[in-house]
Amino acid sequence: MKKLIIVSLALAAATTMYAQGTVNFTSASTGRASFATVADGETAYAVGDYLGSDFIGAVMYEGKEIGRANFGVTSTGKAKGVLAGPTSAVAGLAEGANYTFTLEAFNAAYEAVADKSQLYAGGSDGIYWGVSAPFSYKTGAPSDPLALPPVAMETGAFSVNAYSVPEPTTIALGILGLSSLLLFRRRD
Amino acid sequence: MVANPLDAGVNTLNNLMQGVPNATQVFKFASGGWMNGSSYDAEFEEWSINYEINPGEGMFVKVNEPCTITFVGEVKAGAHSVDLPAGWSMVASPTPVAGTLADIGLTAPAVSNADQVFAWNPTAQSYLAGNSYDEEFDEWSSVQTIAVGEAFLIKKSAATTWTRNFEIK
Repeated sequence: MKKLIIVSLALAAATTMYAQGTVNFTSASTGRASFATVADGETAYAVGDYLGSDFIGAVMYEGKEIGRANFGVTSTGKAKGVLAGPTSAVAGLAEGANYTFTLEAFNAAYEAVADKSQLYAGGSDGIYWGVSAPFSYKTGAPSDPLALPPVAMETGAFSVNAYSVPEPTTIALGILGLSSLLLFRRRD
Repeated sequence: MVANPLDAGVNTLNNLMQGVPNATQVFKFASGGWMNGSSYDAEFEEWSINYEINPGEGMFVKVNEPCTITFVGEVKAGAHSVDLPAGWSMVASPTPVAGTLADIGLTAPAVSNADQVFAWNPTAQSYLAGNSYDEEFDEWSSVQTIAVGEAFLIKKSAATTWTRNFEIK
């Protein structure tokens, strides 16, 4: 009897662990992502353009990325400003449960920046990033065929801005300036 | 749950369902689960996944505001078969005929004992109570009418084929 209970509990635990909520990594066209600002000298994008497939959308939950997809384009290649990924199971999310997510949008140049605290708005580097307002989302429940399918995320409209990283010479000049200031202060 | 009751020749979402509200979503059901959702983008007048919805297939439609979908096409005359796999599937009558489950041909051998049908109530936004087939008495647990253009989920113990005949007189 004891063995039976242990086996039952283990099976129940395994089922719970296996049952993962699914997320539809698409966003509804009621809220598109567009450019609020563009880099100095930018030729590929203009303010107000929608994000296309060269942009990544990372779905964030409690500060951690739970999945990503690229933004979509129409059949004729026009940027749509909506996320266009598949529906996938996400580890750590329960089936049919409500969560609050945000959607971060960025390009490969942003992802390549090691120290994002260095970024400043504007410039000509063509680094783009933006984030949606928090939105609620109900995960799908693949183990229950009668559960409703996981729908597209209602992110609301949001935008990305252009950023740049300081040039090494600019950083060096800054350090030099700061050092001089400190030096003169001490002498006074 | 909606079905395409007519053969439009090209039975894709882009051909069948234009002019629906922006961000309308469609979900197909296959291999016991939901497929990736397809969204309608009214600005670009296209679906994100241009699924085929042939007569006999169903789809779950989510709209942000009430709307009417009008299907245009030809009635498929003659005998038509719908595969009913073991487990869950979403199906509809391949011919545009309304009637009870028995009227539309869902009796043995197309269905077996304890097979179940679940239809969606769009007003209540929930499933109707499951309807179970009793092979011994050759009847369903409740009399349920399926409308033209309505799809439903069916849970089956064994794979069968549902054949419908339609004559144009």
